Amino acid sequence: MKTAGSRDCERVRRGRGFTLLEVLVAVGVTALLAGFMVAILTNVTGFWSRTSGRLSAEAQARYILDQLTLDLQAAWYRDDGNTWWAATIPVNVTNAGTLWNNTGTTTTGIKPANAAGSLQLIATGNWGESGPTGPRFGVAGTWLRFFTTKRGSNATTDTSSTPVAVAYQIVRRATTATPTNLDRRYLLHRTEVRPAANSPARSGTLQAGFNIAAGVYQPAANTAQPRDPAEIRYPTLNSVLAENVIDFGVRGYVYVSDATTGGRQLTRIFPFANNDLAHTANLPAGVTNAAGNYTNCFPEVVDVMVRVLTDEGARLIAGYEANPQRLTAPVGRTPQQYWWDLAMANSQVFTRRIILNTQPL
Amino acid sequence: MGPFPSPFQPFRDQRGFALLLTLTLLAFVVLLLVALATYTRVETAVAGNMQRQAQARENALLALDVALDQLQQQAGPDQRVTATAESRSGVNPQKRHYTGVWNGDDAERSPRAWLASGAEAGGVDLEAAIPAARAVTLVGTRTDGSTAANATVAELQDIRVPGVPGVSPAGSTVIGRYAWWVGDQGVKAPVAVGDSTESITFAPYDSGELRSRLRQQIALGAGAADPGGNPFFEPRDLNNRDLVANGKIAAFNQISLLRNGANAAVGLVPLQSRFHIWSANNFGVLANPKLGGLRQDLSLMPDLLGKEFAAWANYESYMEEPTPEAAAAADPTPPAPFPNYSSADALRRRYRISTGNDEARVVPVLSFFYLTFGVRKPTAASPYTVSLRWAAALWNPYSSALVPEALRLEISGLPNQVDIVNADAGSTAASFSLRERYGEPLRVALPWTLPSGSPVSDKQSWLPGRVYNWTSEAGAAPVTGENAGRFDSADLSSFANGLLDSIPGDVSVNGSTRLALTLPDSTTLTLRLVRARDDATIATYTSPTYLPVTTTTPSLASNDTSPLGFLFRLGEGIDSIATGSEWLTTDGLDPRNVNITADALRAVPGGPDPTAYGVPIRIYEPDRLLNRDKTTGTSYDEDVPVFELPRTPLLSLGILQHFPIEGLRPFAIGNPWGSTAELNSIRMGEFFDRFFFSGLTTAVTPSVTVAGDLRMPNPLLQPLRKLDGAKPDVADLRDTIGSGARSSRYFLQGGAFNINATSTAAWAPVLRGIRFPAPQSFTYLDVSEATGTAEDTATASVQSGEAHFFRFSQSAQETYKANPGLAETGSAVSSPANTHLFRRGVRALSAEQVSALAMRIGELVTLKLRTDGPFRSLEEFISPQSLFAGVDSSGIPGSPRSVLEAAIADSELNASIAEFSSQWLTQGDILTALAPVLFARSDTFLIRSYGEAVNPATGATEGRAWCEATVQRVPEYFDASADDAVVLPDALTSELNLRYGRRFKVISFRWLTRSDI
Repeated sequence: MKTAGSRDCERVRRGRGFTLLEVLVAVGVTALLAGFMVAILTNVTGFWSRTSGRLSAEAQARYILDQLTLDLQAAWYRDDGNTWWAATIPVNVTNAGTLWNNTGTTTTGIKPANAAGSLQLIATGNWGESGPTGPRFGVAGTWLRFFTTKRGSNATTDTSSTPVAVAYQIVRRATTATPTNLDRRYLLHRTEVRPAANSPARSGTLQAGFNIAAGVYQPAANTAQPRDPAEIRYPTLNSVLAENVIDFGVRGYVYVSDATTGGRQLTRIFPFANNDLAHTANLPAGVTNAAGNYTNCFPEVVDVMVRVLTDEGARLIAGYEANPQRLTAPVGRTPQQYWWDLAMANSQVFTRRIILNTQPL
Repeated sequence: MGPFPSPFQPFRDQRGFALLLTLTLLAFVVLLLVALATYTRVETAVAGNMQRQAQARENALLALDVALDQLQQQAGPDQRVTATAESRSGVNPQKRHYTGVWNGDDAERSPRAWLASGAEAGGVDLEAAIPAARAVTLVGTRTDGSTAANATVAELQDIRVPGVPGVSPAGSTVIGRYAWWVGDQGVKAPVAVGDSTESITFAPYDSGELRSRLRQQIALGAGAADPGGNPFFEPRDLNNRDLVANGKIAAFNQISLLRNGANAAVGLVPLQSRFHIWSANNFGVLANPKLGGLRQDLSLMPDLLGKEFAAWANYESYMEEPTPEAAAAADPTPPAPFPNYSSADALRRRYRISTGNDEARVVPVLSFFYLTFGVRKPTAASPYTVSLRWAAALWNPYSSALVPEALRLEISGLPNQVDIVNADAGSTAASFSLRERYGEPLRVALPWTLPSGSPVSDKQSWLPGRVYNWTSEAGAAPVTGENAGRFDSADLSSFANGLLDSIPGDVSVNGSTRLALTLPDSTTLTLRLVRARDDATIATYTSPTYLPVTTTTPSLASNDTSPLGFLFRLGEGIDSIATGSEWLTTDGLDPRNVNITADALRAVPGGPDPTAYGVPIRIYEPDRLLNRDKTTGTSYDEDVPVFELPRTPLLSLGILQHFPIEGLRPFAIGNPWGSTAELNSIRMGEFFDRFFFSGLTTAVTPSVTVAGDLRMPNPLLQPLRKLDGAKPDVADLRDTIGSGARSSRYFLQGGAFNINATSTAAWAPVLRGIRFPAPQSFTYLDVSEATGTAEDTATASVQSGEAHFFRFSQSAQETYKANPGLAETGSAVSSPANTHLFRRGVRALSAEQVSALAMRIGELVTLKLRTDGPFRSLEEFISPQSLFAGVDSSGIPGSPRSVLEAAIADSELNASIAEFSSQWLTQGDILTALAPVLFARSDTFLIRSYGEAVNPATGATEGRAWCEATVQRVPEYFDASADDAVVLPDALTSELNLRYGRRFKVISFRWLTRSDI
């Protein structure tokens, strides 16, 4: 029996070529195969990309939320008039401030303050993109700070498990101190002030005191070194917890006795109203302030939310924000709208409800 | 294959190219998929791990809830006391730090429960070891440095659920486990308590000096020191003062951040070994563990102890206002103090003499009385002349000066028949009645006459502890009214200058006749000390009974003889040796009593024989405490203060030891000898469980902090919010008078310590609660030896980290200066009259003494726990018990003693103290410092819990988590809406409140890592 190979050899020996039909069939089959392969590869790589991006984002979010859970569950509160827990939604809508858009940026960030699509703070009709009362957590997410117990190694007093000030804050910045890559990333920081001074010049939580609203935790000028009290306001790169976090939101609740039912009703205290951009907790849960509301209560329950970009989303946003832009908004979309188009398509929102265990005396 | 390629080889190689390409691509795709799958699996595994870790955390929180439930059930009601298992015999080493809860209203030896996992499932066997597979370490080497053998472990409890796939529907499967342990914080010394006295600026603490005196009145936090007395750290020094301020040290580990004497961090290692000994701070609910209910505030309602106490506590009604203006305005009557007060925070104070009739009882004490009489008939023509002379000495028994004023003595019971016997003739020459001749009573004035050239420092005020003398005025005839007396006179005048009276008689007697006197009856004098301005009785003294006198030794009638006399002195230490009746230690012999019986007086040195006092006797007797040489005796070394009067709001029940109670031994309240006596129908030992002092007297208006909290005179009182969330104000506190003054509903007591603690190392720092480490100091009056007083600006200071126990907790700074062994000015011979022991007003214990005392207390508490369980109340703690009776050298049990009494005695702290003075440490002195912070139970606890996630299929543990919570009992009931906090247990309306008592709150929480365990 002659095999195909022997027939080809015979054909060659005979000096005959392929017929046109043979060639066409061969080319067609090859093209078909190649097309299938390209399609498969495209789908597979797309699936890979999406899946790995999602998994990466989920892992990031889990890590962030776990940290928040551990920290918030162990949050300290003493009824001494000091502020033990504070949350601020930056009102800056121009991104010109330093809270989240740190120094050294090459261009003004174009993340819009407010646009449809993010986790809504409050169900409200105020969906405008220009004001700070919109549905998103501002341009930089929430700046959350409070006191919790450090989970230390207890090798030294500096690493002992003691109460420390912590802060969570998104900063858009280069990922290195001396950036060669001019791209900026959205980095969520978890600042943890050292328990106590380790030198006369390097103060700690114990020296700074337990009032997170005190000036020592938010000085006017940025001179913060890692683990300084000032790092609560000006986090350093040492404090990066996760990257590609483009929104971070916090809601606080307390249980309020319902005069009608006699039961206890979970009542949101932050944001208390559309324009409630800051919460300083210096009253125990359930205690009204001079204005007769709960806007200064230490929360009993906190909802936290993070929106995390996939790796691809991070790449796209970085390219969109680069100078010069490597990606431009299509016709018909404003720069802000397109920023959110990219973010929405390449990010996920994760939430968790956390019960704070500490009760005030 | 040959060495040469076949000419057809290329064609052969091209065969299968497409297939190869296809296979390669397929392989690549497969590889991609496998990689993706692997990546996904890794991510899923990571997510699974995190999920199981989260499940473990939930189980740990479940364990925390179970622990909290058990704690609430067992220790929520008031009538519960707590102690640890450490002292129990046979306890498993891994369970020695378990916390037990006993009923406070019975004497059952066994506890209601041991608070560790297993309690919810039927109970904990304290002796049995937990199998390793079922044990989990909750307090291990990284916490307290323990080894595996003696780490604190708890028994795992299974979490089972039915319906797990693969398991019989009827069965259940373990999906997790938990364990918990409740640690008793109250048995640990609160060593990181800040001193906030400087922030108390309202009247009467509106000066630095007055604020600083708060530190000598009550313990303001334990002082951690090594057995040599060297502080591990001092929260009050400059290194730590700011670090501990405002309760910033709230967690145990933070203590490691404090600075030691070398300004280095204390560190974790020293801390770990003291995990069961130290705490940052503890808080106690001011409740009665025996009867239940919140304690009543004696500052708000002092009449809870009767009107006499209310009058005594109202010091402002009888204390002179210490301002220069007030003093000047008072001149010339009574004398203004000299030197004058320099400011309102003067170290000195003066009190007005008050008799106790609808006012406080502040009285001088008759410490010496001498009356002598004789007869003279120089010639036959002259009448019989009777001369009566007297001398008296009055003692200010207080550590503060009195405002001088005129007094009077009324002497009754003078001999009704005195026979003058003609010894030569053997006949009665004359008879007379002293009562008839001199009055019944004989009234003699005790004026306070300022000398010329006044002011003179030691005459302008009746100085603290000082004796002043009076004698009869020279050459006067007796009057029925008030016979003149001479102030500041110690020596009797001559016969001719006595109170002279002429009596009829046998005229044949001349100067050469020998006369003798006869007293046919015994004589008992009654002396009434009277405030001259209103005739108010200060005290009545009944003299020893003097013997009849058959006859005196005859002497010539012309002689200035005074052959008979009556003399008594207030009994004191030097007399006790002879009689066995100890000064200040015998029931009924309080020198401040209204009625002073003969038991308290001594006819010394001659006994009850009137002939022994015929020769005039001087008051001056250097070996006695209560006498004074008026010529040279102006030194403070002669002063003997014994009792204290309040000069600021009372803050400790221990200071009630100075409250005089008629018929009882001095220092009755707070000392073992007064514990069963009653005042206002309440056992005095029970006071310490029923009452407290907020310091909120009618004259005090506390300031408010920036946070709106009341700043109380007792800086360790932690204010709480009202149920409506508002902070209580002064009006709220005063409103509690309607509910029995239970202002304790609004407070927790900081620095709380459980008396059932057995650790020497915990008791020792607590005993150092009052100390004066730099930069703090105890400032005292630098008294002039020439006068016994000084200007207020003349001060000296003591800085010491030693334990101080004040007898004069509000006034020691006025009398502290003293010289040992010298009771008389100018004497080169040391005297047994240890006046300096009385003056000091504070006993400082050395490190060795503190260690010895703490060790003995720990031993005795251990004995109590092993014998019949913990102390159920402070009353039980301070009352004598046979259990603590000592044994003499022959093994015979002595009298019942209280723990502190026994510990003081067994530690021989008073062995070298000659007198029952302020240096003689008593239980009352210790309670003065510690009463506000001592409790028979704990209200602060530490819960550690553990949870693990178990794979239901394999049974493997796949996640572990530990957490820790500090929980605090608060005054509000579990169901605060049903019963008000002031409701007593038997009036509770809610079943929940009956069962769970007062609410526990989680005041801190943290997740632990292995590095924390």
